[in-house]
Amino acid sequence: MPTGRDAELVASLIAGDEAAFARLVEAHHEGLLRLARRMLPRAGVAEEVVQETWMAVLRGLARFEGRSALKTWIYRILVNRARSRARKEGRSLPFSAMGNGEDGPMEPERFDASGKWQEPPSEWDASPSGMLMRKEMHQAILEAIETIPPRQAMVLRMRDLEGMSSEEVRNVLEISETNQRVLLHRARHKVRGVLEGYLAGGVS
Amino acid sequence: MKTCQQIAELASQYVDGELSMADWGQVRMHLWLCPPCRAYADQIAMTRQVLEQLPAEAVSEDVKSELVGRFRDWVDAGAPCDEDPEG
Ligand SMILES: [Zn+2]
Repeated sequence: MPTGRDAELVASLIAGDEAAFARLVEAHHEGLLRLARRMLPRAGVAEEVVQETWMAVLRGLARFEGRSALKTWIYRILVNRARSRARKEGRSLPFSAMGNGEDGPMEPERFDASGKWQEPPSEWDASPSGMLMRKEMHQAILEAIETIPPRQAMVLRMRDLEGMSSEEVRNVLEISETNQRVLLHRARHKVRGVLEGYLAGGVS
Repeated sequence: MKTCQQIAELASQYVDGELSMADWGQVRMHLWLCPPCRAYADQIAMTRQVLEQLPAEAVSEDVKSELVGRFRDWVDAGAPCDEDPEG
């Protein structure tokens, strides 16, 4: 049986607590949608799948065993449904193919032949909260997440925006530890590059 | 000995505390001796913090009220919990 806050939440939902459901939607709907759009880019399809996911979550609540966090369980349901939807639409899936060039070496041109920095990182003089206060940087970070390759973006969203563990992400996406690790680092490396562009004074 | 490029590849695992003891020791020693790699690892840590601090993206009121409406229908139907959501 689930325990703790998730168990209470599940009990409230089954008891018909509308406010509890609204809070759950507020907390996760947009994150689920943005993730789904990377698997189902055709307009409107991700929206449909996320709606179906919410209904599937409600109708499946009795099967939530609390072996993972409720959030992870919801993401897993979404990803599975998005996968089968993509299969029906005859789309090649971001996770079906190996590689996709998403896990090649990162910016090899920054290193010389012996693996030393050729173009070392520039110094940053800013705090994370200071960066988010700069509207154009905040916007650039959000845009960067939308433009990095889908598998990297999905892992980054779950790990850093949703705070899931590497094990949870592997469980949701059914990918290997190595894959998870490489995709996450590639994604962070790209967001870092965007921040560097601002903090090095290149764009201001 | 790992190169700067190899150390940079391990930066996320390093800042997440996911390295084996042996790799952790090697990375730690390298960072101590190598300012560019230290800057890179710090920046990966800051990038993670920025991402963690991004405010949750807001759902539109229309979508929310539609979903709450469907929740109400589900409750009115007796809150059926009879499906395998992954099936
Ligand atoms: Zn180095």
